[in-house]
Order: sequence, then structure tokens, then C-alpha cells
Amino acid sequence: MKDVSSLMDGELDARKARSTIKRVEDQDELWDAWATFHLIRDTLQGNPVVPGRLNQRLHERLLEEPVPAPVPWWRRAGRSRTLRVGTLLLAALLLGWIAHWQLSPPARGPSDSLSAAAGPDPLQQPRVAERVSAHRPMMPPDSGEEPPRASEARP
Amino acid sequence: MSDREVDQQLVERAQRGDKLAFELLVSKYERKLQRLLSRLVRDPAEVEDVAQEAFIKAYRALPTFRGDSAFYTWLYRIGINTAKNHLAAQGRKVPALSDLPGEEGDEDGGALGRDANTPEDELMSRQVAETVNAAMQALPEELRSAIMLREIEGMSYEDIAAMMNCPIGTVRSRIFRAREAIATQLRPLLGTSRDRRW
Repeated sequence: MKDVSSLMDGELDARKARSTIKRVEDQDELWDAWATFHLIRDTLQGNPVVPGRLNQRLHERLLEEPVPAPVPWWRRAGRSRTLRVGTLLLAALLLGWIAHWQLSPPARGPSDSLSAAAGPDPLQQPRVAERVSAHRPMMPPDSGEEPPRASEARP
Repeated sequence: MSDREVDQQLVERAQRGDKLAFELLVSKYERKLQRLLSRLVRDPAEVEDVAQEAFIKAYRALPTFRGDSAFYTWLYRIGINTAKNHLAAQGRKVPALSDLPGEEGDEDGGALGRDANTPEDELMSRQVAETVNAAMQALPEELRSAIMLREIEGMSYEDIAAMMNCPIGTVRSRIFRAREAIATQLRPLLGTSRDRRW
């Protein structure tokens, strides 16, 4: 019963509190202590003290009441302040990243090669074309002949 | 686990279908709620009906209780709305918002504070108050001080320990012994525990 006294004062640790609640539900003696200690509190605090009649009538009605529909897990999770703050932070980060991705100028550096690969023929780019032409044999532009193969060109 | 967390624990058990947990909340708050309602509904017989209706509404609405506010704050709102609906349904004047009592009610005990439902209730109420007061006076000084600091001043065990210059364990023990001494005097009035637990 000492634990019931501490429980109603909010002075038990979480684990002890849970086990004490269970014992109060199961044991008449502890249930009685819970009810009587609260009656004493109400008397000392000046609340009206017609003892327990409402509780008895209510008990009969509660017996007829269906159990409330279970709370979905996502709403239970929503009760946790830590989870709610975490979810908000995650959402803010995600929104920030999307906004940054949409508003930032075109990317530079390594990703250039990717866009170039999908764009014009690399051979058309001036520097590449220049290097390719350096490997071709010299010939008049209008000779109409194909350039000799490497093996034929050798003496 | 604070008082509010204990209530939250009881609510969560009730949400999972544990009706006894809800009845522990009823046992804890029935008188406080009736005191509040008696400021709005003057007839003591109606106060009990409205309180019962408010508790049933609260029970049905339990899945919507998220714990953003204290359980009693939530119950207070349900109680006020139930009382207003009750008055409106009878074509009686519904008090203005500014006339509504605060969560703790007012100093005046309302209809229930002035006269109880029946002469038997009134007698019982007086007997309980007299028994508690007599038992308090008979307590050793250190027990009386400890329970008064807790119940009247609302102090934590830690603060009481600092004020009484003793360990928290001693405070815990003194408050329990005081309650138990008063309860021993009250039990003959209240009947056996099995009677009181339906």
C-alpha cells in the first residue's frame, strides 16, 4: 500500500508505477487504498465527499460499453514528442534538399561529362577534332583518294 | 513517473481495453469533476447525472485523446460541454464563457458543497469530513506536517524532505503512515473494499 501512496503522488519510477497499477487493478486491498487515499485528498482539499456512488453507477454503464476502437500505430507513434520532433526535422531537411536541388544553378565539374555524353558528338568538339586530325596523313583536300592505310604508307 | 504520466499510463491501458484502468481515473477525479459541474448545474441530483454522462463521453472518446494536455484538462472540457448541452436541452440558460469555472472549480464548493443530494448523503459527507479532521488532529506532528505539505501545499517529496530536513524515504513513509491512519478511521464508514468495488 505504500507504493499506492507513492503512485498517487507521482513519486514512483516508471517501471514500479506500471507494476503497481497492475497490482491495484488485481487486488481489492490496493484498490480500496487507491479509492480511500483519494477520498482523503479530496476531503482535505475541500471537494465534496459523497463517497463512490457515481463510481458504482458508472461501473454498471461501463460494463455495457464496447471497448474503444484501438488506436492505430501511426497515431500512437504521433504521441511521442521525440518521434514528432524527429519527423518534423526529417521533413524540413527533405524540403530543404528539394528546394536546394531545384533552385541551384546547373552543376559543374564531373557531371559535365555526363551531360556531354548525352549531347553532341564528342568528335565535333574543337579540341577532340583537332587531336583526331593530327593523326591523319597529309593530302590535298580535293585528291579524291582515300588516305593510304598505315601499312601502305610505310616505305 | 509524474502524476500526469500516471494518468497517461492509465489512459493508455484503457485505450487498450482495460476498463479497470479507466475506473481508477473515475475514482480519482469523480469528486473534482462533480465540484466543477455543481458550479453550472445547481441541482445536486443532476450534477451526478451530468458527471456520469461526461465520464461515458470521455470513455468513448478515449481513442482521440493524444496526451497533448493533461487528462483532467481534457475531462474538464468534456464536462463543461456536457453540462452546457444538458442545460440547453432543458431550455435553461447556458452560462457565458466568462462565467465558467476554472479547472480547479471555485472556492465555493457549489451545490454539492452546500448541500448534498439527500439527507443521508449530507450526513455521510459530514461524517467523512469530521472523521478525516479528527484523524488528522490525532496524528503525530511529523506525520501531520508531511501530509499537509503534500495534500494542501502540493509539494513534491523532494521539497518536503528539504523543508523537514529528512531523507525522501522518510517523507514517503510519513505520508503513507498518515494516510493509512486516516483510512483506518474511515473504513467503518465506507464499508468493506468488496462492497465498494461492486
